[in-house]
Amino acid sequence: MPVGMQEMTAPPELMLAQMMNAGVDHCLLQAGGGYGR
Amino acid sequence: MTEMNAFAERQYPERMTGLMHVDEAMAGQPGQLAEIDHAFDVLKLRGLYFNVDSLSRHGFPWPLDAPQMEAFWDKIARLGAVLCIEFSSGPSYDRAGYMAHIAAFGRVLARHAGLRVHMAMSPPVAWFARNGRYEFPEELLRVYRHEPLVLEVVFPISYGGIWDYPYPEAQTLIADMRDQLGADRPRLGLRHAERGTVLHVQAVARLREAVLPVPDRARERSDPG
Repeated sequence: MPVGMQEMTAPPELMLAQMMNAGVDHCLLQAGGGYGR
Repeated sequence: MTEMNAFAERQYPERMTGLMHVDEAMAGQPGQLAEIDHAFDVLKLRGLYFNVDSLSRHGFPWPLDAPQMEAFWDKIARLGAVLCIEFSSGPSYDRAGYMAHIAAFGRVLARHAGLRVHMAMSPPVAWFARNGRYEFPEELLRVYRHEPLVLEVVFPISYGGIWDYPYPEAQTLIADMRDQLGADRPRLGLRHAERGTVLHVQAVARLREAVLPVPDRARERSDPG
């Protein structure tokens, strides 16, 4: 399991940190049955 | 997921756009239609993620243009919500399976000309790329030329095991996509690392410089369709 998934939580701030690392200004938040209800 | 995405977007509207979700095969049923109303009217979400492969949860019971789906397409079109759709080749998982969904979706677009579409993932390389060029069937081209539609530039992470960084094969195909469809239609995508970041950030920077123009960020933020 990837290190970042040791904690099964994903607050918006985690995504912001990853966006900053990747140089992404704006993201679309995907949704799907595979990610839970 | 719909609620969580709305929660995140409410906190960071300048950085995040949340998409709603439905049980894809049942999207035309009253319960799912009510969820769309809730997401649009109450949560204020303006886009929906639709994964064609999730039709498998119900055994691919009917095609995308089936009567059972019509209320869904009609609602999304009437609301003006952006449809972010990821195609599949299931249940046969071959080129014919992929094209069957494309053909059905083409018939949906013919009925709903104003449907705003964001096609997730690039055209499948294995079926449509030959010698560094895409060879699109006419049926697929008709869908790609729908207006308004943008095409996400993302290759499956499995190509990292076939091509070497910085993926010149992908760059050639992206340039061909630009030439065939126009520079304003492909949009560079970058997926969350834990789902599979397909193009390394530096490769994206190289593409922005050499293959695709720098995007109009204001437009990209406000209107993916």
